Amino acid sequence: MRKISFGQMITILFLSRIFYAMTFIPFMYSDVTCQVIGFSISTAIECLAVIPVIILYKKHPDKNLCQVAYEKSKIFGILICVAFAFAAVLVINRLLRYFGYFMYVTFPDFLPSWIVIGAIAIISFYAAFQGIEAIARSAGIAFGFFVLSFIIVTAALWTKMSFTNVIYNYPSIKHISHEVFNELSKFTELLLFPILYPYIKEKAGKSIYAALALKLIFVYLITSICVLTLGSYLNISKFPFFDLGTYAETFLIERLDAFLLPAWILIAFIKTALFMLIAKIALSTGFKKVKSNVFLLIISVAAFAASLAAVLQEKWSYSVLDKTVIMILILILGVVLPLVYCFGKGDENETE
Amino acid sequence: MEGKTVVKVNEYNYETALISKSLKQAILDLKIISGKTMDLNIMEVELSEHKCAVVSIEGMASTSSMAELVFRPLMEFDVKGYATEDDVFKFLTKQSLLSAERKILTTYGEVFLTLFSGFAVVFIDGCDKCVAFGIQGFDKRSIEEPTSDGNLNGSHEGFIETIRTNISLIRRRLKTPKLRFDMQQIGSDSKTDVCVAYITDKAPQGVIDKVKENLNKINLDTIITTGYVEPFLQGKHKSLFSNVLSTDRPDAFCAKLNEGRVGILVDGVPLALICPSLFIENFQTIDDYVNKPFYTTYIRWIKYIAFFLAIALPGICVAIATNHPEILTHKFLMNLAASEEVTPYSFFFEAFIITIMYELMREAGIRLPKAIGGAVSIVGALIIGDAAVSSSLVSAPLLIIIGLTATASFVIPNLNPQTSVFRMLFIISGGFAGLFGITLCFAFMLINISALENYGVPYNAPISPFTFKAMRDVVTRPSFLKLGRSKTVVENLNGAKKI
Repeated sequence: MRKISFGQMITILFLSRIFYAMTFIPFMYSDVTCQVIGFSISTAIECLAVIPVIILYKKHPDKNLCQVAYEKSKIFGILICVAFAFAAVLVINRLLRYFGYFMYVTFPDFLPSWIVIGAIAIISFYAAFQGIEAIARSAGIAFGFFVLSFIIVTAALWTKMSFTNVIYNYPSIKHISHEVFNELSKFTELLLFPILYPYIKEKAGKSIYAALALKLIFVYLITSICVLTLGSYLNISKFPFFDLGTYAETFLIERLDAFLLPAWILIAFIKTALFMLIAKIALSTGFKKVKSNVFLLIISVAAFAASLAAVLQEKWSYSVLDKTVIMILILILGVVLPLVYCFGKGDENETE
Repeated sequence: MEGKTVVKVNEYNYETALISKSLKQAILDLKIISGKTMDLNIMEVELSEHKCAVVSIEGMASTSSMAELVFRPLMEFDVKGYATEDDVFKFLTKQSLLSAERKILTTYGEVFLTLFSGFAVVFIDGCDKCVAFGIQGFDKRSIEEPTSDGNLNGSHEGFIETIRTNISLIRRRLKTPKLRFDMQQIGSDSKTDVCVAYITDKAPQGVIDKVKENLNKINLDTIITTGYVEPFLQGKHKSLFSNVLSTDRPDAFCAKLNEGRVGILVDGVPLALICPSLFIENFQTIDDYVNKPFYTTYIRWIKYIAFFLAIALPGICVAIATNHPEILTHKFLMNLAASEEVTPYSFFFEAFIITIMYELMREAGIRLPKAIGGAVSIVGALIIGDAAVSSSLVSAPLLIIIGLTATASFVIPNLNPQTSVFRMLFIISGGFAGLFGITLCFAFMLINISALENYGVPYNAPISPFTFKAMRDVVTRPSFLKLGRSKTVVENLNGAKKI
């Protein structure tokens, strides 16, 4: 059962989060100071929010949350499994829409958006079909690619960074709380971790903290480089980190933005594959008689169809209501439920 | 009981049928089973007035060995008076040294297996057993330099088609009793000798057992090449890459056995298989461990770059030229535009056609006799290449790109099938979807490699899952002072499972 290492778990959790950070951070029209404070506060809240799942892991190291729920009550367990699958579809839908939007803005007239999201869905389906080990190994390479791209862009921009670009605003509580809410609505690791922890060989609890720390470091780094390089252009930049590529110039090539594109694609497909996989695991826990790959196909088609409908109408962004739905699901499935099951009797073979 | 068996014996049920006591019947059985094949030689002789027959297959047994090691000692057999079948059998099995290899056979199945392996079999009238003597003398190729995996400083011996010669090449390099060769016959018709080689205290027992189990699952009629065996060793996962390494070098084979791998030799094939294997091993050659570490490290990185160029260079160029020209420098773009202006087709279509042409010529060069193969190169390089550019059908930069790609693919011959297919996929996806398509293709390749594992070892280890110690022999090439101390074997890599 235990298949992936501590390092691979960190990579998976980190990559599942970094997509939004590298796409949108620092957010357009938002105050950077408030954002940085918001990231720090939200990360602190996230660190507290994972405690119930970690306790649950210690009690039931070999059973994921769906299995625990299913064993306590079959009907309620099935409901939880469906809720997990629903949450996964929502996350995939959001990701595909954002990715479609990203491609639509950065490479207009390149390929129709439905082909773009369709291609990502197909390759993600293939990855999810191959299982957690294949995704984890690919995530290791994707992580390396992301770090390499980051280093190359930073090195190419070194001479263009300037402290005169830094604009400091007095932070307001309203803006900070908005940023905290925004950031917490993206805390989808809390959906991944309760399903995937039985697969990790060791130090499951530490892996999620390490991933959060890594995320915060990269968010700070991305924000810093964007602020130091882009300055006031940040206010109108839709994708600041990607826009760094247009500034970056080497003696070989004129601009690096197209070379940053593979990092986006790799991370998007890994995240999509992960959520397809957890939906498959959740549904096959609740409905044991159906072949798990049937669920994988259903989830993939459902997520793609939902995204397609939005993409064809050019409805790219998520409303506050959508964000709230995801946040409620994260809160219930990732915090409340583990907290409830923490008080039950645990399994005998504890690992940590 | 015996009579029934004799009467019914034919080419379909002979394998377990017992040898007839009557020499006349036994010879008749042999003729029925073999369908009176012309290469079955039966020579009837009398040893001290007792009837016997020496049976062999023409061309499989050495005539000089037959005369020297079989006929001459047989003729010297003499007992006072009439010899019984027990006297003859005792003489053949205990009182003479006719040849180094001697077997006692009881069924026709064993008889034919030994006959087709080059033995001479002596039948004795009145005896339900016969004796086989190893006097193999079939023609075989002498040991030559490996053709596919050339090197400068290492050994110049390569495997040949004869499995026993190959075994001796290995044994000569590993003079330890821990080196074991377990032979088995596979293929219901061909009965091909397949040998599993390993070092007892280095190869994990689980892997050895699993390899043997997989070999026993082979239910084919014949085993002609290693390609017949390979799919059974690879496991269920369908991948474009092969997780079983093949080599025609005994020194490379021994090095892998020493690292705790299990080797498989197939009779009639000058190649050996090694499992489990890693993706990164396709970039390692025996010369790497002869040259100085600094030079090997440098060459290793050249090989990694070559793999990237062989797979992705034409695709990336097509993607950039057709979909992302903004990333090229102004001068470069102008030069490219000027060269493309005179050609009638798009850059993508040109790349597609030239790649197809290159594959055609490469395949022709391999299949044709060596003398004509050279002519293909001349036709390709001088006539088609030069004429295509001068007639403005193809742009000169594209020809340089394809030339560079072709040269890069020669650096890693083990991955040639994969590079050829992925190169074409990259060109097509780059032409239609730019760098987005290229990345999707790369993602597919990545998942395809990542999903692959062999006998519990991930194919893309030690890169992902990452193993720091083992990465020393990937990023650099440590000296033997360090490699000797290192105990990083494949089953200790991160992500490897014990089977």
